[in-house]
Amino acid sequence: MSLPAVDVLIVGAGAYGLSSAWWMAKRQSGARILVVDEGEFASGASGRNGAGFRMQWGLELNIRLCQESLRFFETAVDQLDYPQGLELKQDGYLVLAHSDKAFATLDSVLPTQHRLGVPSELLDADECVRMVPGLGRNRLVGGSFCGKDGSISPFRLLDALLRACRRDPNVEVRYRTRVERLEKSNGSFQVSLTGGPVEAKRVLLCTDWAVPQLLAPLGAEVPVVSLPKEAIVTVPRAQMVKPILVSLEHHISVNQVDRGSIVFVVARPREGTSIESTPDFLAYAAPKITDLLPPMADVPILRTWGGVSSVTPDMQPILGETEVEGLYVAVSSFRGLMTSPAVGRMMADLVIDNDTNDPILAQLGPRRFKTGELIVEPLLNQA
Amino acid sequence: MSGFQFFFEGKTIAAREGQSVAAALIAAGERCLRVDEAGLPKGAVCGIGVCWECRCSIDGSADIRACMTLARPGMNVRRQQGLDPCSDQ
Amino acid sequence: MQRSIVVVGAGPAGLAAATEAATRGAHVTLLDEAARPGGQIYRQAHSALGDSEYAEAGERARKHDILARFQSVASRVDYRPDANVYALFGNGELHVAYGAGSEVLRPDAIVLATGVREMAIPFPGWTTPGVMFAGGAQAVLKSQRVLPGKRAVIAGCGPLPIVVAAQLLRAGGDVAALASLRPLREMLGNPRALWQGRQIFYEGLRYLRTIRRAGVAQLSAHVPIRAIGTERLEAVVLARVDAGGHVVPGAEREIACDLLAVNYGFAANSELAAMAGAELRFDADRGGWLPASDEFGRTSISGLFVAGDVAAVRGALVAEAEGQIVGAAAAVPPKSIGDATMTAALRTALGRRQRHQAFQTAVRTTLRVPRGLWNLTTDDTVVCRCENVKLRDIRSALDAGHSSLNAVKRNVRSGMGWCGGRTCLRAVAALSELHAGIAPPVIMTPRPMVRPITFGAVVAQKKAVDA
Repeated sequence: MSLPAVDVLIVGAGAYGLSSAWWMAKRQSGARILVVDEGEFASGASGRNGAGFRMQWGLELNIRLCQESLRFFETAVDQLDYPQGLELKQDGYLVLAHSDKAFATLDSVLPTQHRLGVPSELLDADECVRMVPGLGRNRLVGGSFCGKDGSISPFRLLDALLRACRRDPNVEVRYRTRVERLEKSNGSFQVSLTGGPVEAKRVLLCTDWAVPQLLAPLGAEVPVVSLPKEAIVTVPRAQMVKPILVSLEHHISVNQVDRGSIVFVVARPREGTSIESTPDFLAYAAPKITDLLPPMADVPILRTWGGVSSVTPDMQPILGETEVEGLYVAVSSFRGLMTSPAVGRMMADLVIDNDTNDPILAQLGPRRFKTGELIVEPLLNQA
Repeated sequence: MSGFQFFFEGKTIAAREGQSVAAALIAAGERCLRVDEAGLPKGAVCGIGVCWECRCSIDGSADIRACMTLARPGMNVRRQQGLDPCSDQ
Repeated sequence: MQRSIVVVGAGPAGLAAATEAATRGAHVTLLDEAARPGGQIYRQAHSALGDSEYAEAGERARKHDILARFQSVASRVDYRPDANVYALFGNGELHVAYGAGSEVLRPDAIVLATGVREMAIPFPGWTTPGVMFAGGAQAVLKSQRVLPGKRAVIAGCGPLPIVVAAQLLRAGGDVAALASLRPLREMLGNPRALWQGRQIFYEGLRYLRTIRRAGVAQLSAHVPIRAIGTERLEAVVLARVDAGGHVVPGAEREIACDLLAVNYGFAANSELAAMAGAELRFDADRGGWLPASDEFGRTSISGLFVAGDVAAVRGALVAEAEGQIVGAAAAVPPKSIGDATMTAALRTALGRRQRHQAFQTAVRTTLRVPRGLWNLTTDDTVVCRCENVKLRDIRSALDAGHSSLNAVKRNVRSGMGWCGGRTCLRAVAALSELHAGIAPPVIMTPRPMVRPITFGAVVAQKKAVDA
């Protein structure tokens, strides 16, 4: 008695999972692709983040991942046939430095960015305040600004990807479906899922921090841990903050979205995988937010929530095939949404075409942890 | 101080001490307290501060529930249009 | 060691709980959102206005008595009006804001007596200024001495529309029509239950007499299907419905009015309990998502109690009796709850609660909303008022397979606006059931804040270990 069979099983229907499914279906017409997710639509990190994308990184590989992804976001409405729109905002990202050291870091990565065509520029404190009146001057040294960076609605993006996937009769997306067990035998994978087992030629794990749980029984491992973060959204207001702000010191990102609400994502040292709002979060975040943007003191908070991203030993994504042939992983390391178009394309190259030529894949493969070739990204903000 | 007046959109509105802004406006025949982002006129609905439909700009502060706020002499109540907080007092 | 209790809500249940707990020597903090105690049913006018006389004498006496009893222990209660309890966490922390500041409380026990709000059935034109919830119109009348409209149509189900119609008339208002979903004689089908609550029943009859004497058109099995007017309400179209709630064609009538006061029942204000992780059960006729609780108000969370309508809609008299019972349960050491001493001391309250609960079972049938009534909401009707989400948008999400309130919310934003879903959630749940067969409804995950609070108020927070 043979099991239902698919060519690729993708575990996780977040941005990485859905993007990979869409690209794979495009790459190979007729490929049978099953995406499963134990949660519901947008219930994971992809639905909980600040939704920003930026090219302002220090490493070429991160810049390239985000550049390719940004180009996709700019044309996604057409590529995904989604006339409703994705709430694309491109008013730039202003990365703020509140110390000379941080400002020096911003300065140091400019040459790499310019070499790759990123239109970024350094601003002093006055220029930052001119750009964002209301910005707090406390310890502010300056910032780095790139006008093409921006944000997109994660819900709209996931919905567009979901609908595009479902237009293909060979692609199925199933929510509320857990992987109970993943085994390999005779060159293919036997997967028991909620609702029945399935056989897959190849498996791609896009469950981010939860990837190790599925790898362990197969004797494979990738080093990734959970990074819980929390967010705040305010009531809708007329425009107060035009570009997206990232403060390296406060570990906060600020995005006033289309509707007028301002979303703050705050990273602080925490463990665990809870998506609950913690009791001491607001008391922690409110003073930092009013220090960063004093006019926020009078703005009402509407809601808080939590989400769990991932972090790896060198804080870079992990993309590629594991020691188990046919078993692949895509771990975001807290930049999933903004790299998802490029990563989806790369996973399609890898899984469908077995194309391992992309130098980025070579750098970000799981093998680097065995060889010790860790990569350091100088411009880091986890929020 | 039993009867007094406050302002709503440039009009003078009579009120009694103890009345909410919403009640005084309703007594004066006003119904549209706000125009939402879709351009729909909105007024008081729940009367007890739950629905937030009656929110006005009051003395320069945005999004104040008219049904939960006591009217005071000389208060300046403005009808918010979309996200404009009418803070140009 | 004195037990510290925080009671949230100063309606009949909260007042009775605070009074009882204080009498038993507990340190009681009573938090309420309004400026004066009484909740909704015993809403007090500002002292400068004085209370109205439109309510029945019996109700006025009950209001006076419960407030007097509270006053007698008021010096022993830390009563804080204008308080915004914006979050309750599973670790027992209660976060409350007052104007420009805020505070964290960690009492030994919390009694949530947060009552109910009115449940909405969206229909075309319901966002027109002049369409109000019946209780909201009554609040304007009761506490503000203002007629909420010159010419009113009252509609809905259960006792509240009757009470509001009569009180408006007594205040000198003009009521053009009273449209009841169900015939009032339905209540008479349980004479034993009616006898248990005969005083309330007689009060109801007197309200009906006021309505009859004024010559108000009483339309049974009629509901508003459309509100007409652009800047303000000008008229309402009423139509007949069958037993299943479906509109009977060819029986519409248009009535000119500037106020439509409508009530289709209630939704429990259970967000704080849900946020703290208390187990919930769904009961469509008694408030929707209710914290599961036992006879002493204990929820699934140790130290967290509920009392009154928030536990299940049963009216003010049950709330008051239950408040006393739960106040006692919160005030005694947990292992003493329900022991012989306590039961003996609360014999009167327990008996009163039982009697009035029996009456309420008769009333309950009148609050039942037939499934077909949710067809009043058309594709073009705004369902989530805060975010302008129409039924069409919700159905599109449901058709795409998003089968929970959370998934629908993420897709169309219903429930993500100012009121946190308080106005629309029951409607989204019922419409999801009607159009996509989704039931029972899992509540949309409640998150802080229950009501908005500024960053500045959080910054000004001071912590307190005990209340």
